[in-house]
Amino acid sequence: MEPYISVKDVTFCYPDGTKALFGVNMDIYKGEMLAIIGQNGSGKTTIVKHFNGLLKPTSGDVFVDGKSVKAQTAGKLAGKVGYVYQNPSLQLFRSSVREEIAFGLRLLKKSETEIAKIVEENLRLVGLWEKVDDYPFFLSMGEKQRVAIAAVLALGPEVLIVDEPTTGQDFKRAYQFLELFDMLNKKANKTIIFITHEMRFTTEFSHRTIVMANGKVWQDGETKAVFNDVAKLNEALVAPPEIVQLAAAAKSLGISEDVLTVNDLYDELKRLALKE
Amino acid sequence: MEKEPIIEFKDFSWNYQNTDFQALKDINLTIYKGEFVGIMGQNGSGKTTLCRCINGLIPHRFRGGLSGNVTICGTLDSFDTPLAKLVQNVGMVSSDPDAQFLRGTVEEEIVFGAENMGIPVDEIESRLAIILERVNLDKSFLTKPPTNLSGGQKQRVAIAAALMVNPKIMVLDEPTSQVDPMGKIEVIEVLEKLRKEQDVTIILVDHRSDEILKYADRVILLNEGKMELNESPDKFFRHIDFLKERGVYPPQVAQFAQKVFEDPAFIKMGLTPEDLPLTVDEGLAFIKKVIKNMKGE
Repeated sequence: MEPYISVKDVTFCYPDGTKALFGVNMDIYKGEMLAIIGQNGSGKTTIVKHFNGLLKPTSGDVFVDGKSVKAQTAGKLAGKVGYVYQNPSLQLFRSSVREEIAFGLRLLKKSETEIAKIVEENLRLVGLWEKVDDYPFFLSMGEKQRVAIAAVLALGPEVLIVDEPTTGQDFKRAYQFLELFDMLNKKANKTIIFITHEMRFTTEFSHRTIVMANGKVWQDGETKAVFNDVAKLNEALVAPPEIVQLAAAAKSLGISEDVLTVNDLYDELKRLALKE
Repeated sequence: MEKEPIIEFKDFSWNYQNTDFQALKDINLTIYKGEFVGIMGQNGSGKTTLCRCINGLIPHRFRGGLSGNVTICGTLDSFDTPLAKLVQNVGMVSSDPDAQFLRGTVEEEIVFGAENMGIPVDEIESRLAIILERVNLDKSFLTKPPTNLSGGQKQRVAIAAALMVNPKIMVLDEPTSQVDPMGKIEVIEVLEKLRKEQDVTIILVDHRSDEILKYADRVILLNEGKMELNESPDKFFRHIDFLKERGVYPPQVAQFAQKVFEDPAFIKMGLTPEDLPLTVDEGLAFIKKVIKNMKGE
């Protein structure tokens, strides 16, 4: 299968001379739910900003949908790769939920009937259709986030990039947010790339995990394989979640290495303790 | 030795102007000198409001209505004491250090507050040397612009700035929410050191249970402005379902053990609530016990 996004030997240097990427290679396929983790300054945000043309590589190239990003306008790329901000308040500015979603579509000169259809489709998808005429400012934080996501989805991107979706959120809200992306991945078949420091969300929601360190890809593989290599993870200054640490400590008791979540370990213990 | 109260909330309630609900309701809470207290609760539960009451921003900088009182350092009523006097006793660090940086170098940033208070230059210099050591920052940082530092370094600069006036209390409102995991450890270790070596009282608001479980003497749960729990961490984190309902993520090890507890297949093992593990080490002992007991049947 052809990757939808392909990163080839990308280096990047910010205008002030700070080098942020040193030869990055990665492929992202349609339908994936992928986590990118790593220390601050490891290059996570810098690399994903190349996917929608916010940044252009200093050397090397990024291909989206078969074409170099250098040959595609930011407007074209926005229809392929959507970027969801941490703070939805930064992007909401219209007087109704409907207008918020329609705004980008009007810029694309879609017909009003088409716009009406796309607005309904995407608001239903994020479960906010009943609030279509509400004033976005008065929605709850979680609802604002869903409006912001629907506005990005309305442009029809194949890929959604979610940068630090859980920062400053309590656990319940952070979890609900990731569940929403999980649903978009499963039901609407969107490719989801999320950047996070919360390892317990990575292990629960991503099929594949890329670990970045010092502007390079440090590990890239199935989430289980990445988190099983604790020594290598620690070298990238990333610690696995407690439950993975506990499973690793209990390996000699017969607990499998494949534990990623609370439920996994519970099933393992059940298998082990109740097998006779 | 008698414990010395340093923060006392008595029947305290507060509502912000133009709101029709109480952000804090009937808070009765005493915090003692040298304690490390964690504050948890979901967004909107009143955590930040509580912090503002400790350093006097409420009632001095926010409008609203209050009843009851807050007393700092035994004698300072937060309502009657001028803000300038309160902030000499209470240092505050927020989740967003960039929002408070306003000078060109780390050195200027750290000494700014102290200069403003008219502390003599010699005194500032000697304090600066001591404080750099306390927050584990090398002298070479002094000439750097604060905006170029990592998240953990920025927060240590913010803590250093707060320490320049020798506060007895440090209030930290989600100081590591924007900081990566290594940076979190850097910051928390500095706080623990301050508490141990300087007897500074630490109030830490955090969404993550790991650090609070490890360092706090006591944890407070706020929910809709009310204080619903006020206990030692080993008791606090055992209220697993209760915490989850209130947006607090209990330690994963405890969640795992809870599932085992609730499973009828394991009931005959005679596990008691005291067996519920919280840390990885306790979890390992728990798994050993379960496997041993099941095999011993």
